[in-house]
Amino acid sequence: MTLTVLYFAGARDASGRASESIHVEARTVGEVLDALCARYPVLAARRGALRLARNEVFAHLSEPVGEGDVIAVIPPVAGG
Amino acid sequence: MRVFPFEELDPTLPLLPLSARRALDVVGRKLSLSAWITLPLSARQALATAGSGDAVDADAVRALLEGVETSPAEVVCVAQPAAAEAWPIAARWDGLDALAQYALHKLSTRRPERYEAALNALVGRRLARMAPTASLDDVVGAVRHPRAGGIASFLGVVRDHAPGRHAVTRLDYEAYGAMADRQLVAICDGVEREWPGSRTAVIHRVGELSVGDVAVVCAASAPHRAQAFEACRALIDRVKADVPIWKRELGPDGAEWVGWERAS
Repeated sequence: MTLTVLYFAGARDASGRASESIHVEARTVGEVLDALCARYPVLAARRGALRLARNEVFAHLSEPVGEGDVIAVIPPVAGG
Repeated sequence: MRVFPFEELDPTLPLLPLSARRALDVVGRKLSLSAWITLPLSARQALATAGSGDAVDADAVRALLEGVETSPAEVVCVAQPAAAEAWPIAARWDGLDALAQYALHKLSTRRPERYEAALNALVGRRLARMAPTASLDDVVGAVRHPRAGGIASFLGVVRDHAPGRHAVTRLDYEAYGAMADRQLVAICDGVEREWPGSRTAVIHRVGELSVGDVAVVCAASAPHRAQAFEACRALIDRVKADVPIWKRELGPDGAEWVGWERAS
């Protein structure tokens, strides 16, 4: 399926891009994260600290993904 | 006796105020306008007073209606109106008194032209977003209302050092804008549900901020100060934990995204 992936802050610097369209075989958000970590080792090194959002809402790794979803890589947040 | 300003009703009560309508609804009776205006003012006021409290004494209302010509009406079951953009009805519903709930229910179904004024007066607008600037007055103004006896506010300010490490001269804040706005609204909704009667507001800034600049402004109001402090504390804690906002510290030692280098 085709997904849009957004990278923010440190994840954007690490991946070298703010967004991209990717083709993956993934059923869940967790499998998308697996694919992104395989593509960018610097994300794999911080995997435990990353959260993913699916269509602007924080998503559990077990959540299903669908064609055209927007997945955002959320590094540790630092508001305030 | 309670008559809402948005009813725009003369003190001589030429029409039935919502409080009197509520009293009649509770006993399942209707009163024609001609029957209403033939009642002495004191009787009209007494009916309005009977419908103003948290509970309506049905026997007292029936006694007031003795000898008055009424017709049967369905007993009204007050229901929460549908969600309306800009007004957090669901989050604040349980904090509203019974007459306010009745008024919103009644106006949403029967008087749409007056409903927006009632929402502004009784529910208030939601203020929770990312913005280039933040005003304490705006945030406090968004939670101020007649039933709030206490307002707690919190300002997050850019400091000149990171904990135990190095000097900071500037912070660049970045956010996932659309999601951050949604999260801020969801956090405010959650806090207001957990502290019924509270109202919350927050603006978080984005862009380049210098030492001493305000980065985030939060406020919470509640009937009493204890809940206001608790709600404000919960609000800022959740904003820091669950909103996609990042900051890059810039200082003499270079720049880094807070929380990224040591993340694992």
